[in-house]
Amino acid sequence: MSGTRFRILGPLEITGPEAGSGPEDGSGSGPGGESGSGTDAGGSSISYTPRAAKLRVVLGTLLVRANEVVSVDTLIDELWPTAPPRTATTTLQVYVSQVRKLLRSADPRHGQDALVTRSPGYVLRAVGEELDAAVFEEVSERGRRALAAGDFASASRLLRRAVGLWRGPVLSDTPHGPLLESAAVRLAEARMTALGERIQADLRLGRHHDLVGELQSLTAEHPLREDLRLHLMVALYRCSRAAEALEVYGVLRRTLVNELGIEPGPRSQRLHRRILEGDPALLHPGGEPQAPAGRAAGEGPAEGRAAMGRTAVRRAAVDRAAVDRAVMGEVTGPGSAHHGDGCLPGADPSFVGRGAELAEVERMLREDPGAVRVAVTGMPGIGKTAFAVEGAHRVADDFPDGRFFLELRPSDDRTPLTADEAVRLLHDVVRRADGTADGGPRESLASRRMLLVLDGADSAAQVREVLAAAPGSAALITGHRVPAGIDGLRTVVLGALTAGEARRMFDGAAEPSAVAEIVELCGGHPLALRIAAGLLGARPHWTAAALAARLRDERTRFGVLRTGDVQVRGHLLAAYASGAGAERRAFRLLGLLPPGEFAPGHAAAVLGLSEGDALDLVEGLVDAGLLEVAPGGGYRLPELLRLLAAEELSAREDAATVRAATERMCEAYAPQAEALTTTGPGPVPVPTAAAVHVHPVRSVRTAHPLRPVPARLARVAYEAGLWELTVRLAGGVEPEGGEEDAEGVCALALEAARRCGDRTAEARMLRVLGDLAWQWRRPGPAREHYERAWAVADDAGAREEAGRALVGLAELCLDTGAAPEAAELLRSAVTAMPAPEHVRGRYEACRALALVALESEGPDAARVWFGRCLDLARELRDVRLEAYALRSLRALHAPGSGGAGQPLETRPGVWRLRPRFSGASAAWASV
Amino acid sequence: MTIDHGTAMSHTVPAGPGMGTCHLIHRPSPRDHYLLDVPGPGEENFALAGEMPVAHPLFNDGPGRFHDVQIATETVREVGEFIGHRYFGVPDDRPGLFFRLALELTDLSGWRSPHRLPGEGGIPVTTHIRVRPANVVDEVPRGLDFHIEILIDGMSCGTGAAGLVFLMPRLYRKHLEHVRRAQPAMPELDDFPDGPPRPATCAEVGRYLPENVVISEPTDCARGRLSTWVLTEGVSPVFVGGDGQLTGLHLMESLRQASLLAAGRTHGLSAERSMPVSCEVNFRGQADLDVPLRCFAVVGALGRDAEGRPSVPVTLTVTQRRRTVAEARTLVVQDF
Repeated sequence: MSGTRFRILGPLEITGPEAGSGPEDGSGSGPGGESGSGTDAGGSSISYTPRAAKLRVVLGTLLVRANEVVSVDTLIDELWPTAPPRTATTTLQVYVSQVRKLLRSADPRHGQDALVTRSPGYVLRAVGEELDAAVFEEVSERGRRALAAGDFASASRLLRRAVGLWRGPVLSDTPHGPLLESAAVRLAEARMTALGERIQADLRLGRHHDLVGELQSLTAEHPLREDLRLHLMVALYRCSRAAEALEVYGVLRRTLVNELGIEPGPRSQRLHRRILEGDPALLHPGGEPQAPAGRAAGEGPAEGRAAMGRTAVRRAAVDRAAVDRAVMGEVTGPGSAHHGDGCLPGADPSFVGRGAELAEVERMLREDPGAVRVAVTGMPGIGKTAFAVEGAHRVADDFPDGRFFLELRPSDDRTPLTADEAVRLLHDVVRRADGTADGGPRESLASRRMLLVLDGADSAAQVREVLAAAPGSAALITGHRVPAGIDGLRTVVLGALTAGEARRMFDGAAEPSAVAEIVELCGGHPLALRIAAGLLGARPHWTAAALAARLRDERTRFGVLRTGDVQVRGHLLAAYASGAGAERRAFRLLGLLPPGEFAPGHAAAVLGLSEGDALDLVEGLVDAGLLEVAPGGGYRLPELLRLLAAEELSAREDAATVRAATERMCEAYAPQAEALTTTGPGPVPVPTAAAVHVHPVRSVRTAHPLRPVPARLARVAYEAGLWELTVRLAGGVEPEGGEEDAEGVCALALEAARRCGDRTAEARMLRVLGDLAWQWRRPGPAREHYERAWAVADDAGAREEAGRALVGLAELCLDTGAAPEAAELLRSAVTAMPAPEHVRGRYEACRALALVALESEGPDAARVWFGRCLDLARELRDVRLEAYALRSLRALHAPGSGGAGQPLETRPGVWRLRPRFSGASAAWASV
Repeated sequence: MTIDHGTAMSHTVPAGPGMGTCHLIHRPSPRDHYLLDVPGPGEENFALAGEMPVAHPLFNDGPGRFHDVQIATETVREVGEFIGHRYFGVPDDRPGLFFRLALELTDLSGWRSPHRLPGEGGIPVTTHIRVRPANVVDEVPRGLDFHIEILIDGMSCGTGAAGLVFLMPRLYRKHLEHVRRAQPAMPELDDFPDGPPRPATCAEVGRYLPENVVISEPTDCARGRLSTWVLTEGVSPVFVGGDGQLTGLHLMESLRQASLLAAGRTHGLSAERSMPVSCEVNFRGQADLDVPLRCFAVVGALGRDAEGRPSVPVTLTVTQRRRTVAEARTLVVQDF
């Protein structure tokens, strides 16, 4: 390589080594008279830039097409764009001769060969670092690749270097003909692209404070460039200057409308909306809008793995089926290469959520970047790999020696790497990154500060060996199970996405309630949600409501949640299949439990084991990512794993086993459901043994008593033919409020009561059905149920049920304004339920008597009866009934209480509204 | 104790249709079921259970082919303010004012009024209401967003949304005073009918009783545009409020009648068989009863709904002294 340097990114400059400093001391001639010689600022080289404009045109033209043949005609056009002289060819030859002389002066050894004649013109050879434009393109390309790979620190450094090569507009001191003009435009555009990408990398590195000034200057210089405005908006927003960010959008919009008559593009509009909404995700590096994909080879953002997990990442690289691309949101590009090369996969632009967990990991890694080890665990498909990669990108600047991604289980159908293989892989990837030949001696990695993402860790030995080989490096370790025995290991457990995070995957969907249902049906599972969102994206004729309807059926949900060869069930099944036989059986049986949190006592019941033995199995399932610890302190089977467990249960266990487990489970829940019958739906005292269990490893103490799900359990018991249990469990179904299916379950329990000959229960179910019909304003069926309840209770000698049926009938009378008849029925009810027994029944009678008194006598008379309600509620220790009595007493003091037009809370949470038909209340507002 | 079954049952429970009473049922999540005294921090769910009215002076006046859509909007309007005060901790002195109301009938068949035999009982209507607080300041919402689903006889047949704002009492009074003061100050904005407005024909607005007709015969009618006056005198007491202001029911009924009249005059839709299947109303300001209100309707092209029924979009603007009081978009469909 010669010492001559050609610089065209700015005014033309040609420099060569100073005489005596070059390889051929004293052998070259000095600078020619036609060149503007002089020592450059560094003092080590001399400028050979020609002063004559025509010579600069010839040189500039040859340089922008360096190493290519530039025809004589092109050069003539460039020299004389409008009217070439008759002697143009001859004159050109003179210029070329002068250029050759100049090049020889600059580089006596190679200069004469730099410009050669090649038909139909000339070629100027400039290799390596000789030409600044070539250096710019090479360095910016490397920067672009680093950006695509998510190595933002390198990307920023390289792109900064590339942009730093520019000293002004291309060949700014040289007259431009058509060729130079087009080259100048192309290079200027390339510079702006590199600049934008550098800013993008800096934003990802959290350097928004430093960028604001630069971006403000750039946007003033390039007012029509939306991308720069977007970057400025993001930087301002992150500097807590949201108002200015919005103003930037306003200026952009005004400029575009005034200058071009167009509105800002969809990305700008989306960003504007996100700032208006105060989107917290935008505050974090990576939350900003990404550059559009597919600009040019090597420029696309890295592949979108999102929270898809390791297999999906790999699959994305090899399977580019169009449907999958659409469904999985993949963007193909050079970054989506196979990750067996140890390169950290690129940051995923579609990664959403996990803000708190990522902040925690970032804090841990930045606190002690030397040798911190963080395990990332969670159920299959929860997005451990994607999370680790995202975390690694966030701390890029703290690991100057590189970040590597080692797949310790190369694919699901192959055995995991042994410890030796893992260490060899580490050395290989480091060598490859250093550009050292494979097979050479292993370099010690002890002094390096790298970040290793050990994906799919299978055993502690495997991880330990890798970490021992790089003791100064930090590690993010993913796997279903936390590898035990790693010194200083800290663990981050990934659970379901929050509803808000999950909804962001469905940005385009216009049906928020249907989307919320999809999120719930997928249990916030990232892979399932990604597939669901992809299905909606790929099939525009599907609505979110239609997809929710398809997912609602538990039997077919897994079938819907698949696309191509990516399916949720397969992920979950692989984790399940890797467990021991006892764990698998326990997992299956736990699928019988109702959705939501359960206590060790419930698990023990369904497994038919002691609590201690059950807890061992349950903890094993937690370690395997098949069960999660609920925030309340109990355990929970995530929604999709619950479906899998139920599927496996019906496929692998015989009916007798299932029935026996069902019976044990229902027996365990029945006392709590029965407690609801007598104490109301307030906090339920749960037997101590079920709430607290001391385990050798973990003391399980549920933060609050676990509520049973009486309606669902009663239905399960009914389907298993467990009549008595059906009745006991249905006792906890609440007539008021939440239970959607209360009437259906009560009907089943009524049938069960008849089958087992429990007349009192039959009367109770009829009365509850009457209550439900009354509540939903169906007086006919209510009366019918109450009458039948009274008859059955009377026949069975169930005095309390008979009394409560009469209370129900009295309330029906009150609804029709027949207060005297209601009072008469209530007197019978009170007689039917003598003190000190039948406390709940007497409470209901006193409540109805208070309503009658309010209607016929006024607030003072009602106060007496509500006072009795308060005493009885306290005797029952039922906070809900007590609160109702207190509220009613307070309401009697309010002005206008008992007025005909006033809403009246007749039962807890049930308000009687008499028609007003005035239309005179809340009108409308000017807003 | 012995209870005489026959005696107890025969005289104490009068049977017959309800008297229009309905139940508002608070449906808290099971875990919060006992915390009724604590204002809800987030979404709350309710159900409004009742029966279709059978003798309402307005809702039961007309051809009776359909249940009156306003039953749904009116009940939500009535409970909206109460829910805010009772369940979201909004002080009682802050009046609730609706500024947005939208309703879409998802299944017209549910709104067809069936013939009921005497003693058959009323038709149950349930409205599920989801309420979310909006613009919460010091844990008290300044407004509420309502989402509703209407079930008639157990069948889901309509959805809707509404926005309610609670105004500070002093602010509200100042607002009203300002509106009233501003009006006489600008005589150039006067907009009065040329003479006493003549009520529109009952049949054209889907009512039978003249006192329930609340719009005038159109004064200008050309090329799908017509202008009517909202009648405020001689109308049914059901429309009368207490503070000299136009009531919500009055305004909604005038929009309904203007929609039917405009669709009939422009495209020949029969008011007897037609109803607005969707409406979206934005309330812009209060209106005084003693100043004339103009309702301007612009009728869109005749189309067909998904089941092939003729449908006509109508855009309506209600103004008072050239100030917009309400804007609405409706879609009138003529049933088979």
